[in-house]
Amino acid sequence: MRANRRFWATATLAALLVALGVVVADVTLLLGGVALGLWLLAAQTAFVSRSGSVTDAEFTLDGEYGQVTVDEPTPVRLRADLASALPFDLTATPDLPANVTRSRAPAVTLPSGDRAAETVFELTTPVVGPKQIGPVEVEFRDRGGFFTGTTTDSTTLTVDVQPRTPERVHVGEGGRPLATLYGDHRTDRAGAGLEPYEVREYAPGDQLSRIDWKATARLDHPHIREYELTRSHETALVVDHRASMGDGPPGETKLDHLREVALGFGAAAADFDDPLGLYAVGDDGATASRDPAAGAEGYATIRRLVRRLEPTEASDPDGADPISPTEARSTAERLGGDDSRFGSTLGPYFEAGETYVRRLRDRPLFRTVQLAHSRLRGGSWLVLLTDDSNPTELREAVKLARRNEQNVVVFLAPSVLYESEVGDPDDAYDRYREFEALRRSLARMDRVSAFEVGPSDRLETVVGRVASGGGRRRSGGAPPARSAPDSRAAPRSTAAAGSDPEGTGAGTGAGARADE
Amino acid sequence: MSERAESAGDIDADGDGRYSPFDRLERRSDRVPELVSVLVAVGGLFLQGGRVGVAAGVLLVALWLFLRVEFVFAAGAVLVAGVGGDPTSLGGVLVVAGLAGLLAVDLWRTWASARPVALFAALFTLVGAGIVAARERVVLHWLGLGVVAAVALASYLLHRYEVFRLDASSGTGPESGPPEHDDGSDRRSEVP
Repeated sequence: MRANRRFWATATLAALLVALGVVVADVTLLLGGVALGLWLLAAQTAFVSRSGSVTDAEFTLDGEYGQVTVDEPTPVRLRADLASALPFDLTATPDLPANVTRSRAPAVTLPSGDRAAETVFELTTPVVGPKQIGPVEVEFRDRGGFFTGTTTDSTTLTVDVQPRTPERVHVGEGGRPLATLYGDHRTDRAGAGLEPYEVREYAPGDQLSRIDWKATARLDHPHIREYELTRSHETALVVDHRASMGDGPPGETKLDHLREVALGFGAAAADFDDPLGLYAVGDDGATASRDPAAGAEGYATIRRLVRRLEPTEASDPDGADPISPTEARSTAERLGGDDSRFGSTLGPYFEAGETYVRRLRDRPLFRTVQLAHSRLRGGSWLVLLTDDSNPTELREAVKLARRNEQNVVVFLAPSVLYESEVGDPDDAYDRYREFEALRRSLARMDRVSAFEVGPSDRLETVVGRVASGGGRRRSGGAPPARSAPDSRAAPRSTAAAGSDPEGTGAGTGAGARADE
Repeated sequence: MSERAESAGDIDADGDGRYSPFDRLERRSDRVPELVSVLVAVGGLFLQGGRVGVAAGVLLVALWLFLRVEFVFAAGAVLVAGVGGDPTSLGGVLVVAGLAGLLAVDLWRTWASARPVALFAALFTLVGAGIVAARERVVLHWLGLGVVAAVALASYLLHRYEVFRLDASSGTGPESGPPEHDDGSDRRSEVP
């Protein structure tokens, strides 16, 4: 309880009257001062006796949605109910977390004499995570305005704020979605494990303890039961979040789509307790580097890092995709016979593959893949999530990644699917075919699988129109929507669909993975 | 069920938080009981001071029209002292009753209950009678000091009791730390 200005003004008047009465020896003035003091005391007693009723009040906080996405307004209803009317004006205000903006004052005021009141306000936050609204601070003031009391009601409401996620994620090849679930880590090799693999005849050298006596009795000859060797997949995610990954509408950018795939991998790795690492690629190089490790804490950290990835700003305006060594060599050969000023000027730029390698080493994706590759054991999995903006750099990065018996899975966001407008459908289709050619060229490499990731509705617009005959047909090849996926692209690949266990909201968020 | 941006009951703290002796927000019809009290006080002043008392009464009515009740009461007490009446005379009793009635009416209007009014009346009767009875035997300044100290102590004990009860009901510990401060209208200080 605190005293307000009226209390202090009255108390001062009372003190002045008493002092004046004492000074002039007038008992009337003294009585006046005493009367004012007793009046305040009576008011305070009434306030104290009635304020106990405030603690019986019931406050409720209701949210229309328990889960919202960032920057999405969520209505919250605050209601106050009293068992009986009070002679107080009562105001209830819930505590709001930081970084929350509100549409209006989140307070409900109950005038004296009323028994119920409610208010609805909207909250918006740009920060992901659970947000607790409450407890409710209750302030009440007597109608005379002498005192104000405060108390706290423990009512709270928690709203889970999730990042914006694309709603229709397509993961597939040549316009066809992959729907196979994430697979077990079968090795098709006998060894230590739990799953029975085969029963074979006993051979000299086998341990006697491994004899399967039931099979031996049944087959009338000593037999050994083998168990399948299982092993964990060490996986490194290389997530590109350079400036070009910000293409697309808000919440549905290339990065948003690939983020879903990465989160799917995170969830799958957690399910199988596989070591998982993360390497993020910004315009200036690697922005995050976590070597593969298993454990709930590591998975959570990687999920958090992936969710926080935002497109970086392009720092190299001259960062065009380098040409490949083969192309450089053929150009150099052509320019070698050109004695013109044009040929002699351009010639040195195409002479040495060394220049090319040096340029590639400066490229952020290549550098980061190099880093991730150096941290992985042989036979591990490197999952590369990027777009088709720099095909040469991508191709060389994949070539590097598959060295040392590494397996590579590439998820590519076709730029044509993320433009604000489709434009000329035929042009878009041509560009999609270029992308598809790139994807296939990657998928043809040994131990490399390549998939496209994009908004399914846009894919339908670009590819489906042609596939259904709405557009012109290309000669020399079936439309991608009808083309069979390259059998070598992902021989035993599987992809997970909608596997984000944290409910990030992606209907078909996908992760993908290849079995051995 | 309703929601208001501001409390209509804020008598002392309106939107900008200033307290003024001139703010009287109650409706005129609510002021009829106070008018009766004021007229009783005017009658007492007339009995005590004749025409001077009537003039003082008119001044009191004028002040009542514009000032808050606590200021009307203080001004009335000064006017009574100026007229020079005896509080034990009929006129003095009427003036004191009229002025105390002003305060009682305000209590009744604020709390819509007779209990604080009864408490105030009982306390004032008891303490007032005690002061009047003791003024012959005890020096006036000791009387004043003693009464002020007693009222302040009672107020402080009530405050501590309130703090303890609210903290206990909200599940928090007793108040601690520095005093609260805000930029609002009211001083965030404890009752003495």
